[in-house]
Amino acid sequence: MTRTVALFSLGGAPGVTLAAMALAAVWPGDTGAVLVEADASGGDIGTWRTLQTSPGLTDLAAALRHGADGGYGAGPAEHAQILPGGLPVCPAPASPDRADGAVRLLAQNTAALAAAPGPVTVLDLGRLAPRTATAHLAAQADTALLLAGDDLAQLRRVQESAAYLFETLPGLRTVITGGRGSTSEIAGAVGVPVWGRIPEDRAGAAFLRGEKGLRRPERRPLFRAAASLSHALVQDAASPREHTEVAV
Amino acid sequence: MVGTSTGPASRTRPSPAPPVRLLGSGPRRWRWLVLGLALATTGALAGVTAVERLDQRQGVLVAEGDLPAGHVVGAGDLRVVRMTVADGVSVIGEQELEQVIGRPLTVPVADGSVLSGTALGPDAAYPAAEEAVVGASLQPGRFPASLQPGSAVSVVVFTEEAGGEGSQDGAEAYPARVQSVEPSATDGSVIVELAVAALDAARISAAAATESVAVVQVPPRGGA
Repeated sequence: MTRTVALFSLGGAPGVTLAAMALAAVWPGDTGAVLVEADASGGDIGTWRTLQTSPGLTDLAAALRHGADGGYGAGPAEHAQILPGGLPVCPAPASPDRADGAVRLLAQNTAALAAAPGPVTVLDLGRLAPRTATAHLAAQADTALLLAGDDLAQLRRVQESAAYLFETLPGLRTVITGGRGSTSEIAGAVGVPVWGRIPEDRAGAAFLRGEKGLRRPERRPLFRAAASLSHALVQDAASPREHTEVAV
Repeated sequence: MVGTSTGPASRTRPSPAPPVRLLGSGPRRWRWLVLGLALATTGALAGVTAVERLDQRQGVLVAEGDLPAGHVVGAGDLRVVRMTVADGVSVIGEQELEQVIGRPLTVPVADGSVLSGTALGPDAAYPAAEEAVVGASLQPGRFPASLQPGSAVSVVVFTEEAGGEGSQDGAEAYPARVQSVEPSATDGSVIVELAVAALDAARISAAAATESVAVVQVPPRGGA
């Protein structure tokens, strides 16, 4: 059973936070998912959605020091703010120094995070660097999604670091963001299995940032792809070792 | 829900799109802002309109120069001032200027005083029906010093038909109204114009010619 899903990138800005938001927003099931913005370089959601600084990632990290049932209601949902529409979010502080401290603290208590009751946790880890708290969080997650933009520099970076990544992150899957069409060509060129693609969707991204209203957001390509990915993740958890190919 | 078929057939495409637990709230703020601005503008306009409505000043007619009783009002005799009129005050609004011109004054109106509806006689009715205006020169002592245009008076005519010594009570009185009083240049006498009943006009006029007339001031609407 998938309890935690971590999304990260290696460089560039392929839209990790937007992909994590979309994934959490369409997560199947009644309980859905809670989004934890564990980006050590500072968070964006609080600014996009004009949220209070607390509750959020800092409160969650502090509470998890006492264990999953430390008497503080340790689950991420207990420290989340509910966005309009019902998505619970633990926003990260906007400044890197404070966000990095919270991420380090969170990485020291991954067991408590995994054992926390409530909905599935979607972790937005931002950019991953080796031997950091972020890398530790990605390794401890049930599923790690590497997001890479559909451009040469980012794909090259994925190709070069594939050996290290697949060694340290057993549940790693690669998702291409932007562009359109089949991913088999990319997979052949990079030499890494590509699990899915999240197409570019400016209106959907503006919707996620709270800049624009959409009448039927579930019909946008961004949310269709996210729904497809989350559905596949849930199915794969039911039948392990079989990576469901995602058709987007 | 455990998939027995783990083959390539497990290609997934969730047919009904799952609901998105998010709302985009961007443009709605602009909509509220525009609505707020519209409401503020409406309120400001309503306030301005209300203040303008509260300004109850209106144009009324006042006399331009001293106007004697009996004067037929012309356009040059009037001007318009803007003022707030309390209830129960008789004024003539500027919009009634057309009806005022050509009508006589029943009482004198001083320069700058407000023309009231009661100061105007009936249209083109000067002198009024059954009335005549006669002039008389009055020697000092034959009129009270308080004589004013508009005063109600009795005109006393001395009859001297008997001519003898014993007929001193030959005097007749006629009700009249003073139209104007003008002091004579030299001897302290005054020249008055009197509105009298038409039937009495000849009698009074004849007496005035012989200076056998005196004027007695009586209370308004009284008799002598």
